[in-house]
Amino acid sequence: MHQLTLPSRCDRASAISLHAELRDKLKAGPVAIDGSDVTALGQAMLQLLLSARQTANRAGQTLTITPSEKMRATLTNAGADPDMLCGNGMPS
Amino acid sequence: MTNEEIRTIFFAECEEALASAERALTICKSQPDNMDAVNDVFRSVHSIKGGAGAFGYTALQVYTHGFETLLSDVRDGILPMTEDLLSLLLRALDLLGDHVARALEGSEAPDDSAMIAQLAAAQQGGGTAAPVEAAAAPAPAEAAPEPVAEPAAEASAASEASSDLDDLLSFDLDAMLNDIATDIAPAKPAWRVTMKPQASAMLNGGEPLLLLRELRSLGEGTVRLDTSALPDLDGFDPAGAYLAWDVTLPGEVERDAIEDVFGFSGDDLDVAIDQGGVTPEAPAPAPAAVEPAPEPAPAPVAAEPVAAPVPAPAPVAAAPAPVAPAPHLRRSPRPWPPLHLRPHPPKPSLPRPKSPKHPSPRSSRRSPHRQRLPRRFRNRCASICASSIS
Repeated sequence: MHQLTLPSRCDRASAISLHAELRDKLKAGPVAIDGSDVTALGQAMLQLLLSARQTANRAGQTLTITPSEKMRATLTNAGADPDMLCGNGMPS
Repeated sequence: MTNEEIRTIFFAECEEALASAERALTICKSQPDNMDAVNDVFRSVHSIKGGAGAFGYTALQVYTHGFETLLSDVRDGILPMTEDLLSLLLRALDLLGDHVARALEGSEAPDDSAMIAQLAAAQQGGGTAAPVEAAAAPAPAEAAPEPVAEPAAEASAASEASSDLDDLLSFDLDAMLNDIATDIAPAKPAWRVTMKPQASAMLNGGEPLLLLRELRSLGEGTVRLDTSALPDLDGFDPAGAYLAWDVTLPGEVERDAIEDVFGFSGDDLDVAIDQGGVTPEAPAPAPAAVEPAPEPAPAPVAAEPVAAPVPAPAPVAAAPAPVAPAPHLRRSPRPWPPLHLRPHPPKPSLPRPKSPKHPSPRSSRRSPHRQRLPRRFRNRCASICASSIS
């Protein structure tokens, strides 16, 4: 299980810097993303995480994301189901 | 419309925003907890910032950015509205007026480094922080439209990008739910707003999620995220833009309020605003998730829980065909003209559904019979042109 940690501010720059590592690690095996420090999340990181979820689901790979409360709230605000994104069960 | 005309409109908007902010801060003096008033200040400053960015008034943009960042913390309850803070905000507003005036004249921006430092310090130290004596280094601020100007004050350390994200940071779900959970009778067909940011919308600190949040603050609605264009990680360009949103809002929300959200956003956005017998069904094949229904309102104002916007046989726009086409408008940094392209929906007769407990300057401006923004601006332009622009 490879561990990745999201920075406090998940802005465009952080999404750009995370992309390659996330892509490569997810190919290699299960990945756990720690988002418990996230205080701000923008569209760039949101779509990267959504893509990671989609990629993992299609590949049958394990991806878990631990969101902070702020992150959950932002996801909900943006119409993304936090549980579905984070892998805590798949609502119907 | 020429650039000069649009610029004139921008300064008319600035003038109005400054007046609105001043009225709102005056309300804050007697009602420190009036969040409507705080929100008005925020929106006013935000509006100026957006235009400043669009027109390349870098110094003004940097300054409003620091101002707005602090305001967002107050608005979200992170910082209490103390006397010290209010005093700071009033002084900051004064300086903002100077900034705008200098930009209008085309002269050098005022030295704002000390104020920017104080704003940042107030945000860091909480509302009780005493004003910080910042070293008032002479800041080579730029007044001329010079997009590459170096931001004057190091103290504005928060980069554009990161501190726009402060809004997200301080997002309070509970407060939002309380705000939007006012039930509304389905008298008018729901609005449907579709928004698809282009990649460039995220440059220079642009953050489309903030617009989404603004939209949601207008009334109870649904947000549908469309991820149908989202590639897997292999084909993913982290600098790209793959998401789109489909937002429904109560028909009672005024169109102006919706347009305001996108006004001067200065970003590349595909936006369409429609009303009339529209169901919230998205045309997109694979919406990723649907916003769960908001929790029951703790303080139901009006009864009538409404399950969904009912596509009642709308008197207007029942048949979409004869209406003017062009439902999709590519927003450019020149914000106003496209909004003329679509015909008016009937004016809702209700004020914004948001807590009407305190008559805020902004909401009072939204009288049902008020003309739309461009007309208002045209009138404003006339007076400004007469006085300031030769």
